[in-house]
Formats: sequence, structure tokens, C-alpha cells
Amino acid sequence: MLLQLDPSTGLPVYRQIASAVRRAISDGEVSPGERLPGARDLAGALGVNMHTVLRAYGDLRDEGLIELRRGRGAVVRPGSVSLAGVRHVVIELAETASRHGIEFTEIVAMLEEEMT
Amino acid sequence: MKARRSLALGVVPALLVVATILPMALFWGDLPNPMATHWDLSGTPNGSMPPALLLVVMMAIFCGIWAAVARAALRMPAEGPSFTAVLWFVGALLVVVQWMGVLANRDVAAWQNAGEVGLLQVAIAIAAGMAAGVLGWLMAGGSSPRPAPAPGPALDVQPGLEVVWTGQRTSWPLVVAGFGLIVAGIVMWGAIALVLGIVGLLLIVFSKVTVTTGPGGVVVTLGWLGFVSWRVPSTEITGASTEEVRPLSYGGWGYRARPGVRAIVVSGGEGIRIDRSGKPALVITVDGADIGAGAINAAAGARSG
Repeated sequence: MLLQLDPSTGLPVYRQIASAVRRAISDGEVSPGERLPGARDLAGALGVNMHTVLRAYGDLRDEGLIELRRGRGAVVRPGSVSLAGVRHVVIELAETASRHGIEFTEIVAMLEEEMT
Repeated sequence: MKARRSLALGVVPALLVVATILPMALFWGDLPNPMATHWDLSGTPNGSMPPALLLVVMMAIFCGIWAAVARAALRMPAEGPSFTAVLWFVGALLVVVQWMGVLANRDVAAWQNAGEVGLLQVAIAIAAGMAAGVLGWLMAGGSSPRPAPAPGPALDVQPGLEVVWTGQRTSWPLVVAGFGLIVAGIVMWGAIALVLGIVGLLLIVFSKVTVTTGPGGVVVTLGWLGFVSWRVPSTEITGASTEEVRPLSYGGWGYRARPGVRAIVVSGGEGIRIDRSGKPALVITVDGADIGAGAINAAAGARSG
């Protein structure tokens, strides 16, 4: 399994990790049912604290992309492929909107327009 | 080749079954019922079982492992030598243990009077098992000279990106043999149980390896629960390449030390070779070794350039 982190974004490392995992899921590099690297292993390979990795995994769990189970580690959930892709676009959307000072309600209105 | 294989996984295991039954067949009338089947650490018998039941248990353990190994070997013909080695190891171990147990029980009035079976006998049984394992490996056509490592492959990585790769390798024959030995240990109890249990646990620990590489270094984790793990910091790593690992060219499975190289061998097949500055190289058997080596080289390249 290959993950690609982008430090040039200047994001905190835990968000770089979450973003790399999302990309790997939506690209099919990791399939549903597959296990992500153990938090300690990944932290060691990145040279960061284990809590940084756990924070990223916690976010991914909250997004419904992975399941965290004691002893089993982080497992990619079924149906996460499309979800990861959409989440990636939504994050980009939120970043672009705040960069251009576009308000939340405006974005919601735009989405409503596009989706109905 | 076919004849060799049927000899390795059919004829010889069948002979091992016969050799396990033989001491009981020869000395059935001389055995007490129940006979001693457990010995404590000092070699004093402390548990018993009817001879017929002991025979059934021994047969069940070996035939269970035999069936699992034969099935797995059909699916993975390249692993034939490893499977054969494991099967012969377990088989010879059980044969020797059975002979020792029956002879210790021969011509005694009650099982409490049975002769000593202690750590020395256990060591002999394990040594015999290992000799048989090596023989099985050679028989199945295992050993050939260690191939030279292939140059480190280049991975196509967008500049500026940090690459993390993780791969693993599991050896099912080792898992099966490990559990078989632990079950055998639980059945036999005493000194033999302790040693069988430890060897079984070791086999299971070395039945799986996970390698995770990244900009900070390489983490190697053994076993299923990740208790055994160590880290090679990126500052030590000078480069990586791939290598076709043959267990016997490193002297077997597990953690192997050879001049200038340390190897973690779970099963034969592709492996990553990590060169370290001022320290022996590290070879780890893992699936997808070429991508892993590429990822390590990409990280090393990013640091130096």
C-alpha cells in the first residue's frame, strides 16, 4: 500500500495523513476491508508521534471511511471509495470558499442549485 | 519433480505416521494402562492417559498438519521446500517424542513408575526434528546459491511528495506448525509442553512480518499483535534493493545473522535489502518488495537532494 503525503500544503501532519489515506481509498490503492498501517508503525515511518497518526485515523473514522477496532487496527469500510472522493472535493471546496471569503450559506445555496 | 514432491509430501510423511505407531505396536503388551504422558521439568511423570487415546491424539495432530500443509503446497508450489521442511520437522519431532514416551513406560507396573523424560530428551527430539526439517528442505529441491541483489528500482514519485509504503508477508505453514506444537504441548504437559509451547510461539511470531517505510525511516514489526517491532531511522539508510530470498541460504527461518547482513526470513521469495551506513545490511522477506525498495530509495533521494 502506497500513501503520498504532501508537505507543501503546509497543513498539520495529521491532516496530511488523513488526506493521503482519503486519496489512496478513492484511487483504489487501498480497498474496503483492507487494513491501514498500524498507528505505531506509521508514526515510526513518518518520524512523528503516534498520537498524530491516531488523530488522523480518528478523523477518518468520524467521516465514516474507516473502522477502528481494538486489536484489529484501522480497516477501510465498505462504500468508502466514493465517500472518500467526495470528502476530498468538499475539503477543497471549503478551503477555496474561505480563501475567497465566500460565506457558508452561499455555498449551501450553490450546492442546492447543483443537486436539485 | 512430481516424484520428488510425492516423496516429500506423501511417502515420507506416511512413513513418519508408521514410525509413530510402531513403538506402540511393538510394545503394546508391555505398557501400563493408563500410561504416563506428562512429565514435569525434572523428568518425573505427572500425568497419564490410556495408550489408545495418546495414539489417537498424536495421529490427529500430525495428520491435521499434514493435510493442511499438503493442501497449501498444492496452491503454492514455489513454497514446496518450506512446507516439506515444516512437515518433516513436526513429524520427526513427534516420532522421537512418541518413542521416548513409550520406552519410558515399557515394563512398568503403573504410570507413576515410568522413566524420566526431561529437558535433555526434549532437546534431542527438537534436534532430530530440525535435522529432518533441513533434510526435507534439501529433498524438495530447496537450496541453491543466494542470488545477487537487484539494483534498487526507481519509483515514479511527484517531486515534493512524501511516500509511505507498507507491505507484509505471512507464512501459513509456520502458523499451522506453531499452533500444532502448542496444541501438542497442551496435550502433553510438563517439560515437553514448555519447550513445545515456546517453539510454537516463536514460529507464530516469525510467521508474519510487516514493513512500513516513510521519510522518517523503516519500521519492521513481527507477529500478529505487533509486540516485536524495531525501527531503522532514515539517517542510517543509504539505499535499498530487492533480493530473491531462499531461507536456507540464510540458514533457515526467523532472525538470521550472516557476515555483513541480518535477515528476517518468514518464507522464501522476494525481499527488501536495506543498506545501512556503518551497520550490517538488513534483508526482510516481504511481498511487493520492489515498490517498498523504491519507496525507501525515494525517501533517501529526497533527503540527499
